[in-house]
Amino acid sequence: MTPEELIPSEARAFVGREVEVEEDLEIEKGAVRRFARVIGAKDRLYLDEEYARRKGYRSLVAPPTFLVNGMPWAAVLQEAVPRLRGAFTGLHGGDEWEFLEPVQAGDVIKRRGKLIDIYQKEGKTGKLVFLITEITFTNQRQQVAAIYRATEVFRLQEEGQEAPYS
Amino acid sequence: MSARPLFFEDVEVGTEISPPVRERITTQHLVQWAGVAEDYTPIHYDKDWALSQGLPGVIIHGPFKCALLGRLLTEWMGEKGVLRRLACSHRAMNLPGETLVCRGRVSRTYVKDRQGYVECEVWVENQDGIMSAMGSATVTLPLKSSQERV
Repeated sequence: MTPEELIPSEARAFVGREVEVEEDLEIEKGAVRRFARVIGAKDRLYLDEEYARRKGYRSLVAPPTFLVNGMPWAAVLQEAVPRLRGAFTGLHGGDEWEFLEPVQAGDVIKRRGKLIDIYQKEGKTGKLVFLITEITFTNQRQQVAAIYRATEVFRLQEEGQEAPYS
Repeated sequence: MSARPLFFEDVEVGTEISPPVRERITTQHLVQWAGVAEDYTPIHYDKDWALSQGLPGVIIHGPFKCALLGRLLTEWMGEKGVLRRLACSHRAMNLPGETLVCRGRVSRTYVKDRQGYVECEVWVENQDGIMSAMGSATVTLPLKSSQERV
């Protein structure tokens, strides 16, 4: 397999190109509570606003990784992936978080992202393309709340398989 | 959450991150997670579609497992702890009906800028001990020596 077989230069050109995720993410109390509930977290910081305020926060604290909301990597990949050679099914391969500021209900988060790496590999399940995106989350106080790297793994589809949804 | 705060001096290399977080996952979790994370990828709720894509059934979202690891660490580190970093790599799939067990172990400790840094290995396994996600995390814990005497 040649290094460029699945990754033409038109796809590789997206590495380093910054994209702004259009909608700001408004951190809502109900969303924070629902996130806490689905992961079974009982910490009152996530559920009880009065308690969170007594502890010095403005409102409910969002549990770690809450900012994964909305799959921010999708906005970054939406132009690069269709330029790969072939039809692919994608799976989420990894998450890497750096937490810098607590995220609280009432915060408004801006998201900027870019593709930071793209490479291919021959795996057990076939030919794979790895795309790594980096998203920076900035709150309304101009503080970087978190930096996130998401790995997406795209597997080249065999002939005869249904075309993937986009 | 433990009532007694966890200090840097309380942990050492090999200390288990405990208690493990254990959740039996149902399709309802997948639907809830989809709504909460606003991830509507059909492989997580549309079984016919998942099968057509060569998957064994609807699969549990990777970021959901990462969030469970976040819970494991925040419940262990206590109120004065701060989760600085969390990374995990998804190596295998999990299906509803499986129980996810999140575990960890301290791998390195050091003091820097008067903060106690604790690096950990963390992973997600199922009820049969088969690992599906593995990664690492960094937590800071307060130093006993920096606490004021009452």
